[in-house]
Amino acid sequence: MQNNGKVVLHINFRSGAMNVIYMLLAISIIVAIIFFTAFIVSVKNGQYDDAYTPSVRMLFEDELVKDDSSKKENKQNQLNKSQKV
Amino acid sequence: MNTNECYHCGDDCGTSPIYHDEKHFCCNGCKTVYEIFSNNGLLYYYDLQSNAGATPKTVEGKYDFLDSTAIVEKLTEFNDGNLQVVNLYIPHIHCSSCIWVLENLNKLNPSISSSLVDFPKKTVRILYKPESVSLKNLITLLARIGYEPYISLDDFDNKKKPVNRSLIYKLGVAGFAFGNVMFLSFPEYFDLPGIKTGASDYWLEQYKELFRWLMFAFSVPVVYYSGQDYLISAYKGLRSRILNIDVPIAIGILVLFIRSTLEIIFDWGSGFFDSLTGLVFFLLLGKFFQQKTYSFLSFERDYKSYFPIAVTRISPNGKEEVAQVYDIKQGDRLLIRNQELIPVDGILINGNARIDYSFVTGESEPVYKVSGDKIFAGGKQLTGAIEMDALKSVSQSYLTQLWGNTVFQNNPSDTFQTLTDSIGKRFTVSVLAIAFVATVFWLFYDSAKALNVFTAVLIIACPCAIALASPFTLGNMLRIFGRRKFYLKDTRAIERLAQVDTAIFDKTGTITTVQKSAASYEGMPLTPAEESLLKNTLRASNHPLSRTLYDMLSEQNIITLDEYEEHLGKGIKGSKDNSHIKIGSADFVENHQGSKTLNTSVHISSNDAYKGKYVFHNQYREGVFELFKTMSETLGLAILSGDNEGEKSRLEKLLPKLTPLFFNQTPENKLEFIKSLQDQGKKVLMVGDGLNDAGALAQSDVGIAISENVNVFSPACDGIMDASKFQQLYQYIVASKKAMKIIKMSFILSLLYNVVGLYFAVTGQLQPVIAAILMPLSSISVVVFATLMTNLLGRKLQ
Repeated sequence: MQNNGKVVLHINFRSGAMNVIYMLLAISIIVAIIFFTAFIVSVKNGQYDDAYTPSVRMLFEDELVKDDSSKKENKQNQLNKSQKV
Repeated sequence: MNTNECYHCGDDCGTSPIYHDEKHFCCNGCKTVYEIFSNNGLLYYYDLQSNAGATPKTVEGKYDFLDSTAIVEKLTEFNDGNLQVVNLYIPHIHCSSCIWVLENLNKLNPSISSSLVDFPKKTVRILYKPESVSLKNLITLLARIGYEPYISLDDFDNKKKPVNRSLIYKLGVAGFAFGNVMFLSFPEYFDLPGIKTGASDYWLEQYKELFRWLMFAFSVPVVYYSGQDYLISAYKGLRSRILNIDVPIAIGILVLFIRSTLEIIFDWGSGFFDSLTGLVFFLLLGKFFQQKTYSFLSFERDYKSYFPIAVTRISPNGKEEVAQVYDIKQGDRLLIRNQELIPVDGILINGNARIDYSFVTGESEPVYKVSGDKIFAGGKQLTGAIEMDALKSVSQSYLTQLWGNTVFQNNPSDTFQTLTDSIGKRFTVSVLAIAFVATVFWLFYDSAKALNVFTAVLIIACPCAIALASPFTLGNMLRIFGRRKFYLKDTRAIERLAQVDTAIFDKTGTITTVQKSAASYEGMPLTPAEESLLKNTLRASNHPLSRTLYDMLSEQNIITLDEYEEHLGKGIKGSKDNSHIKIGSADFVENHQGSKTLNTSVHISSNDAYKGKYVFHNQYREGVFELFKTMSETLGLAILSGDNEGEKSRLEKLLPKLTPLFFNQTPENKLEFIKSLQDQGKKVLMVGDGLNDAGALAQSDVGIAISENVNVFSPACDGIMDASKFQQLYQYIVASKKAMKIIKMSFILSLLYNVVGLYFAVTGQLQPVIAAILMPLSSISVVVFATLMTNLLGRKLQ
């Protein structure tokens, strides 16, 4: 920690508090900058371009019926049939 | 659930629904979609939202153009042979079921790796493996499940548009700096003068330098990055000798920054960095709020988003090939299928052309053309396939030439002076005057304080609240209108709408409806037997006029005809027992008597004796005439129609007296008409719907496009209005006028704050803490006032 030598010499009992201030300031600004960068990066990646769809998407459960072999066959037939229609 | 509702699309199933799996379906198309979903485990689709589907409409060969690799290359976003990415606009996307099923496309076809829906934009981005599923197969699959994408010439060469997010970045920087500066300036707020003893004072003495320089560091990007738009705009304004509202804002920002920097350098005080960052943050917040965008609408469309991307060309050796629309040259032989659009002007060679020009010229009824007739780009072929020879290329066609007009190059909103700007001018002059008078006074009284007072006046008078009044009022109005299906391009459109004194209307599709047509019978009354035969004969015909007439006639018992003939382009004939009936054109039913009429009519003869005719009238929108009546009290009105004069006498009766009516107007005529009104100093509102109004919409002060379905094409304009809201048009104009009054009231409110602030500034007692309280307080109260007032206004709207 950078510290003012004069201050340490004169008021010894405060030196701890002062170190804490510098440290806290540094930490708070670093944390703030980390969040700020995260924000900028997420905007850049287009995370805020569509603010609606994810809110719906997260409510979907995996409601898909499990594929069993008989249905699979049926499905292929169906698709082929309707492709011709 | 209503038993008669189609389980898939929610339409009325009519009298003969299809039963399948204990559910009703209105048609086989809907049933097929249900089967596809049920066989692939996608039935959750119906649980999310009932009746969410759309009836699939597949036209054979519609997507043949996707076989051409050159076109696929242009449409896809990414293509490396193993993977293709395509972003498709699907107008039907409207609910959570749609999102769910479109994001589970890989269940329908395993070659689709993933798909992602952007709901506000109504687009889906699909990643797929082209070796096992081609783009054509993919799009046919979507069309088969009722999610047909809309592909137009506009998509051609339309790679991913760059998104401008700079405002969000600027807002982020300003907000970040504002928070931190506020936090750093708090200690000095509590360092009240007079308490010079004690630990807090000592503590502050040690750290204030650090705190102040940190605040300075946070403020630099706010001034030079976040605030750069204001500085640039003010500089541009000054250079062209205009005092816009950005001039006092820029002065405020710069004075705040320079004075604060000097203060901390010479240890005069803590500076006003808190007010500075707060000011820029609030201003940008206003700008952000003003930018309400409807991502699913486009206000910049031209003919390209209406025209197809490719068309079938018949090569000299008789082979059909896909040709990109831009590649069509004079002399090419083209094949136009049923429901396809004619892309270029040309001459009809083969086939029965029945062309719907309503969107292009305003003619309300489809026209018949025979071989050798000239046909124009933009028309839609309605029955069967035709062959034509191209006469011009796409951009030189009769209709598309309109876009060469200079109206489409310069944007009228660039030169429009907003209310805020006109106030800004007077405001700047008076603030500068006060600042100089106060400085001169202090120079004689106490010259040490003169500079302090001069800067304090400029700081406190910074019109933050004034600059916020308009974005918040109009931004909120924009949202209120949007909720009522009146979508405006930007806030300037509201300001211009408030100034309108003349309203010009198009006829076809604007004041008339597209779907319904009313008909009245003229002639000898029909006997019950004849009526029954008429209805039953019409039942067999698929012609649009027959369908309309059929729906209109009273219910009759269904009888089986002995004989039924359809003569294409002429009429139909039906017989039962010993009587027969002929329905169709005047020549077909051998009508040589009676007057000719411009309106579409269907003639009827029974047993070779002429009976009479059904004359079709345009069906006007509900409430149109009441709307015209109220509007005529304050606004000048006129009707400009591309249609013939068939409806003239009827309109004259129904509209307010002396409303000018103009018929047979070309797109250029309409544009010139608006221009001539503007030259007389009128502020013109143009209401139209089709491509033929595009020039007039662009030229007018406010151009509003009426649309039955806002998701489909509408020409470039300032606002898009849902057709169901048409009768509210005048209310919306009045509401815009009231919104401008709210802005003026907000100006007065913010001026009151300025007076209080100026008192502190002129008397030389402006403390940073006072500025830091007054500025946000005035901004917030103006924002709250504007929002509350517009919400009140919005509640009164229907």
